[in-house]
Amino acid sequence: MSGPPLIALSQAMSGGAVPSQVVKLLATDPAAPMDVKEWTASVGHKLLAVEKAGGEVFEIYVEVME
Amino acid sequence: MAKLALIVTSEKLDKLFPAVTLATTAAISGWEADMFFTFWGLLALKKGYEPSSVSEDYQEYQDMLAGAIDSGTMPGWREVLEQGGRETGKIKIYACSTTLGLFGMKEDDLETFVDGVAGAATYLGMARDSDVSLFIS
Repeated sequence: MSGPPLIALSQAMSGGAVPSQVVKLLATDPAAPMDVKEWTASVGHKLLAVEKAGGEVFEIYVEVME
Repeated sequence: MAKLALIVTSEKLDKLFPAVTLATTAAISGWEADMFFTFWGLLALKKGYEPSSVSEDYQEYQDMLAGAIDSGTMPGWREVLEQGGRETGKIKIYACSTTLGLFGMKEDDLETFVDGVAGAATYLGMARDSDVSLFIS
């Protein structure tokens, strides 16, 4: 999916993800790790890890909470 | 939960995209977002009208932006709005009643996703009850 990474993540989370499931977000936006951290804190999901996947790509792992 | 109120005064893409991106980001973060479209911003809500240009100052970015939207690298502004609006139900879109009159338009001339028509005093009431209020110009 293209566009703002947070919107893509939010759609993935609301589109069938269940509690304790881990969603992996691939993002080239350098602000994505910071934005995802802020967003998960405000909506109550859990940011597990941010990894540099090579090149400009971030792998961001978020656990779906209740 | 927090609430955002913002004024959109231009239908140019360089104004419209920041406005819908902020409103959608607010909505998916659990905020309420009231958007008040006034003056030339109102044109974006007109049935049969498709905002497609950037402000004159940024003409050199026009082709890049159109290309990004056409190729799907970037979602269109309505698509961004739907991602936050339709799915969360937290975005409300208001058309400025005074501008409607000024432009000789009627409520029927507006897109069906518009939630209502409001005046400046009503917007101020929304802004007073908000945590963040922005004027996108």
